[in-house]
Amino acid sequence: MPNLKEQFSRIYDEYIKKIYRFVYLKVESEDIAQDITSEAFIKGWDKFKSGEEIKNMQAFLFQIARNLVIDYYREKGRVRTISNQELQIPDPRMAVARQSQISSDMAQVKLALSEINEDYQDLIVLRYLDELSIQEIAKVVGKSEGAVRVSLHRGMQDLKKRLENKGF
Amino acid sequence: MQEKDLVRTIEQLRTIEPRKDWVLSVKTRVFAEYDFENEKPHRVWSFFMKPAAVIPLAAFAVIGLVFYLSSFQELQTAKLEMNQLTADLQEIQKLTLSLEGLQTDIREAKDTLDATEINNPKIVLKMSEGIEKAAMTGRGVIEETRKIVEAASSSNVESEEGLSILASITNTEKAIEDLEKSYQEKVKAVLESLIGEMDHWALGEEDFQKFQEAKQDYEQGRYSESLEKILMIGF
Repeated sequence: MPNLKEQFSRIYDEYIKKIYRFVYLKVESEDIAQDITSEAFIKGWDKFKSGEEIKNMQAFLFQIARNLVIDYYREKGRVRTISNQELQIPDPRMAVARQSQISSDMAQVKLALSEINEDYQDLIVLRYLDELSIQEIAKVVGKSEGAVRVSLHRGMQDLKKRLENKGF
Repeated sequence: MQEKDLVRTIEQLRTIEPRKDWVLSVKTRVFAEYDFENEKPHRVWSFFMKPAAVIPLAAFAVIGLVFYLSSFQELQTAKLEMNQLTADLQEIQKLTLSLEGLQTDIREAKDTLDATEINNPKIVLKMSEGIEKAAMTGRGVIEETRKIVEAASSSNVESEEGLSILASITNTEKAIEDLEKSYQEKVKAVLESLIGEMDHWALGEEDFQKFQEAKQDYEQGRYSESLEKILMIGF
């Protein structure tokens, strides 16, 4: 099947940033996010080239990444610590003051996200950052669509409260 | 805070992106094994494609790392251009750190290469391009750094920071030389095994001629040329 590589190459280009961001928001360093993301794509490619049917590629890749993050914390009994350091914004055209303000806001949002229940956090990131449908999220997290809706609502309430406490 | 404000706040995190060079190097790594698996081996090389000669995964790690080093140039050049005009002590310190990072990457590539058993001549040849590019990139960075140090005031060059960057330049040069040497050793080992095996083969006149030329190159230390000629045998 000569087109397999080409097909997965397109999939890679489409999802690499999303998966990286999803993982980055759950771990404490860029290096770990890179390791887990690359492993997710290697696993994804292995499955893809085996010819096994993958109904929803996006949900499939997020599911692998999510499981790898769980394994990462489980393996060494690591405790989640998300740093409050300011995040890098890759747009050099932005005025410095504005950039610094947004960077600081982003760090606060990242911190607030890390403070809420981990399951809620996943749902919020998948829904509002990665724009997965409720159906896709249900597949990734292995819950019913109804349960996802309820948890998402609770997660948003919790996040809202925490952000308001941080002055948003 | 309204829900739409909350969503807008969350959406700010969309600007988080991985480094471009990392995205490229991972893509290369993901497909590396598949590319090699799918190269149809020529009949002459079937001996080396037996399961016993299966490519270890570490070989792909080397290729990935070398690819990463090759893409290092863009980042470094941008950094150097920024610093070129005003090489004060602080900038010299930053450059030293960048050089040390490069040095570590090169040493890691060398260590992985040393620890890897590669029997497939095609892989060894493919790696040559990456090694050459990584070495060229490294030397380019060193040359630019040297220019900056030379342009700095003599008091800065003689300072602790200045001496430290000079030592870093020397160490990086040494790391590049070691990487090249390691690669040459790999090629040499593969060639030894190939030539030893092929000496017993009944080759046609043309192939025999190519083989003799390859042996000559090997004896004179031109390992890459020798390997290229050997891989042409049978075509």
